[in-house]
Amino acid sequence: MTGFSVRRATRPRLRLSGPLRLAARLAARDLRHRPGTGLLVLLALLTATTMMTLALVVNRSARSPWDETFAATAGPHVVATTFDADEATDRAMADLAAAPEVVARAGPYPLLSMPDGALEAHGRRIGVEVMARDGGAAEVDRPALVGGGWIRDGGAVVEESFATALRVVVGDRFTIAGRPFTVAGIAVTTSRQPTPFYSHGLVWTTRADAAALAPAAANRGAVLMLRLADPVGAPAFAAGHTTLQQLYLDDWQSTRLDALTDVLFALFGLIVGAVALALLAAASVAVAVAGRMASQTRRAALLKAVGATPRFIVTVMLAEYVTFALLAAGVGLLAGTYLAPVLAEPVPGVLGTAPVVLPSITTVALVLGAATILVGLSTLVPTVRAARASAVRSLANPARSPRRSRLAIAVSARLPVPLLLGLRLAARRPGRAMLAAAGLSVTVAAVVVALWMEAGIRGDTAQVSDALGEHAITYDKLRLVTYTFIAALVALALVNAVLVAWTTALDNARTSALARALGASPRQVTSGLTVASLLPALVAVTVGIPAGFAAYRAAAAAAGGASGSPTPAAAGLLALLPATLFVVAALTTIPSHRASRRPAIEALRTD
Amino acid sequence: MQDVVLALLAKGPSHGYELRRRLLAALGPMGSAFNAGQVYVTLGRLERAGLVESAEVGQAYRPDRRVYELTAAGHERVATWVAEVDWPKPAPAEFHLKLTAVAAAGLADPVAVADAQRRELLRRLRDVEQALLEAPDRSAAALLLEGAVLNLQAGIRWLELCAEHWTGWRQGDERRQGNDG
Amino acid sequence: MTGNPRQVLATRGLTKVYGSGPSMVRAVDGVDLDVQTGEVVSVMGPSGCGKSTLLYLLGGLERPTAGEVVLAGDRVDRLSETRWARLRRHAIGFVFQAFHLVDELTVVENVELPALLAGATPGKARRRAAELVDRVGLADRAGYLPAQLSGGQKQRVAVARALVNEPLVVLADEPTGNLDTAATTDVLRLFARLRSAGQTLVIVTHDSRVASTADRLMTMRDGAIVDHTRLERRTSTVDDLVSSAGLETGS
Repeated sequence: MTGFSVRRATRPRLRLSGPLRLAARLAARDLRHRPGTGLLVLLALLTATTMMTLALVVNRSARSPWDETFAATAGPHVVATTFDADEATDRAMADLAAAPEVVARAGPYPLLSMPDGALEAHGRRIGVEVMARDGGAAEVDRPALVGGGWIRDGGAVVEESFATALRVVVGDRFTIAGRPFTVAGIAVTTSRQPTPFYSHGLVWTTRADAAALAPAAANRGAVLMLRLADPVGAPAFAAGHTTLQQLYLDDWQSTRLDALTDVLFALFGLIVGAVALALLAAASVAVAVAGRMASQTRRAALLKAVGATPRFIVTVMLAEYVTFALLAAGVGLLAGTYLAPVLAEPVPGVLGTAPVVLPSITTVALVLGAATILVGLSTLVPTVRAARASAVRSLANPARSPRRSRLAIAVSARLPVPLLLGLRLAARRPGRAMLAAAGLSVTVAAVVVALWMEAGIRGDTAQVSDALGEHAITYDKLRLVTYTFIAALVALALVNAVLVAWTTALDNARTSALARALGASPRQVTSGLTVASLLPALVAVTVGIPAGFAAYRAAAAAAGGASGSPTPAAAGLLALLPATLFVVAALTTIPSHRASRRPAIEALRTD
Repeated sequence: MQDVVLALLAKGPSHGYELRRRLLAALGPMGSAFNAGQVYVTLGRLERAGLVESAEVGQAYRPDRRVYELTAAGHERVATWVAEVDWPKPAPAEFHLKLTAVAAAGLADPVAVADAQRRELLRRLRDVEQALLEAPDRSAAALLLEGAVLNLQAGIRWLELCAEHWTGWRQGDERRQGNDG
Repeated sequence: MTGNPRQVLATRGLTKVYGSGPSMVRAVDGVDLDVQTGEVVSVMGPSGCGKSTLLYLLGGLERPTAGEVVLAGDRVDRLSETRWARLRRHAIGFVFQAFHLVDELTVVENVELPALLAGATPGKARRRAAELVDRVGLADRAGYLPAQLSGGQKQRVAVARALVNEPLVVLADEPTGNLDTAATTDVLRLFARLRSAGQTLVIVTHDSRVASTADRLMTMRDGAIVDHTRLERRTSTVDDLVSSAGLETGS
């Protein structure tokens, strides 16, 4: 028996513990060293993910109230309305009711268009439409009571959105054309658009009461409600049966769209806001990362010296950023879910408010994914560059060399000293300048969109208030959405501006110290640094305002024709230009001033 | 060697034995290179040169029993030696000896002596530099002058170190004197 | 202190102290010096002795803790940063050990910068810069970027830059600190030419080669001037010089 043992060759295993520990230690030290940037980036990401969550959650929950109401009230798929009933319209309605696609019908019911001011309630006079109904439940369109009881003689049921606008409750008294009524009940229906889109509200009465009111009516018409075998075919049905000019056929899809306009409008705002914030957050992250490039490159070089491969380094660095992103996404999801009910509109004229919806798997995945991709993309390029740079060269000379712009140098020579310095400083890092400009442009464009939306709201509100003599409360929540998103956007843009100014000052410490040693006064240097930050702002405003216009127009067109909403006050937009520049200048002066007051010799000493 | 012995005697007359002890103490690690015989041979030479005189005390012919003393000529010679800035070739050892002797004998401030020598070297360096600028490129003269520059630079650098070292010694001494006083 | 018209720069009891208590450092300790027009003064000393700090105090890049600095007859030690900046435009030129050239500007653009900062027209600044670039022997590299230059060439550009506004005095902080022997010779040659043109120079250095070219040499140790020599020119043959340096000539 052989007594020797063969020593099997063991493959050397890569010891990850060393580089991994070093990487973790460097990352922690870096974070402790500059907690400010980390916090700002987190804030930026947080705002973006919260907005994103809000948009997604509201999107899911907004439509359900109407859909639920539609189902609960056996809503009509097609509503045929005429304001002047005669033999022709009666015959047409009979034909419609007999159509093969129809599976259920209700009416025709008499519809009285009362003159303006016919209804008097709580001292206010307003126009109204009166629909006569039967006491029992109809086959189609069974208005759901949210309070009180159904019609009785002398007791009318008021449509819910109208009742809210009038501020009447069950039991209140009012008159129509002098005839006294009591509010027997308040109900919702999906057969028509809610107030305030109709300047005439809807009231249901018994046939007897309607007959008594008929002489005082301006027009006497009729309403027929149908349910089809195939609900999807309602628009086709309506199009196919339009024969009489005075007979209007509305399909439930367009009614639904109109009813949800508010919500969709708000949703549009949220989506625009979320996209803008996401872009801005990405820009902020990129700027922050660029500002830390020197330490990143050195970190990569150190890791390489310990034996880590470039792929490992990229993975580790990206992991750090992605952790940030996931953290932000998590908190954003929670915040968005919590805030969604606050912002959710009780959709007018339907049952209940939007339910508190927990984000679906899709939503969670979308938000997490978006945050990760956002951060990953904006940090990928610089991280890869840092990882691939030669270790030796990085350790010896960590800074990336600045760009030379012959144009900037030539032009600036003719300018006064602060502009000379500012232009040259900005031209050194064209990448950062463009990022700053991009970020601000997005903000400015979004603010323009918001201002336009606000003007649109005010316009509609003006129309409604003429009819009701007061602002419809419908729009308050919408305003809240708009203002929230403007505020978040502006806050983020300010964060971005400070980040840019800070990184600019840091990057140019040696150059500004040198300028002072060569004869530039501290004030000239401060101005120069501020100008360097202002130049992107100028570009931002120039590009952002028209971009905002274009964006709103495009979105309105996509939503189905520009509603002819009024343009926001020219004064407001013009004020945006100097306001932006002023704010940016004010913010960037602080880091610029501090940089120019630090003793020059600190940056110039070699020992 | 001769000058060092003279310098050590400048403090006051002493036995040959005592002198040897002083010399070894002053030399420190370099002392091992000197043996007793060298000291006595040097003393003999100095006597013949008239710089030193001796007197017998006790048992006559044992050299370590004689008392040695500087003559007037001897004192003159010491003073000249201290002020001398001629730069001999194997410089460091001898110059260090000079500074040590000067310090031990309290003849002068060793820092000042080092600085004086340094000044002289700087003057020479300046002259060499001047000549170098005027010399044609790549000539033999230029090459030799470059060599001179490097040598002088080395010397100056070492003299700076000496000055620093002896400044520290002086501060220590002052502190010691302060404590005693 | 009387106004001596030939006195460009002077200090009395100049002191700079950093920190306090047990960690206090006296970087410059009661220095008196004066520099006459056209003189080359060099301050020598080991690193950490305070000579660089002394230079920064002379140029207003540091504020003294105590003492006076007088430039062209006016007291300047308590001036504001802005006033100092204006002073530096026309009275003081700096040369740094690390050159501190702007990386993205060419040689001539670097040199003209102080002129532009002082408010000269672009044309005049460019002309003067071109003239100086020629004077330092870099006319054929006027359009090069600093990255394309050797150390000695970079320092020559820095010297040209220091001269563009015709300063009263040029302050040089270890100008040959980052240079090899050949480059040092180039810069010394340039300094010699400046001296013969009458430019006042104060050079701080630990290199004896550079220090020995001065008219007056001061040695600093622990913040104080401990030695002060006037170096006069003596003519000797090459042989004498070489042998006096300790080299055999074989003759």
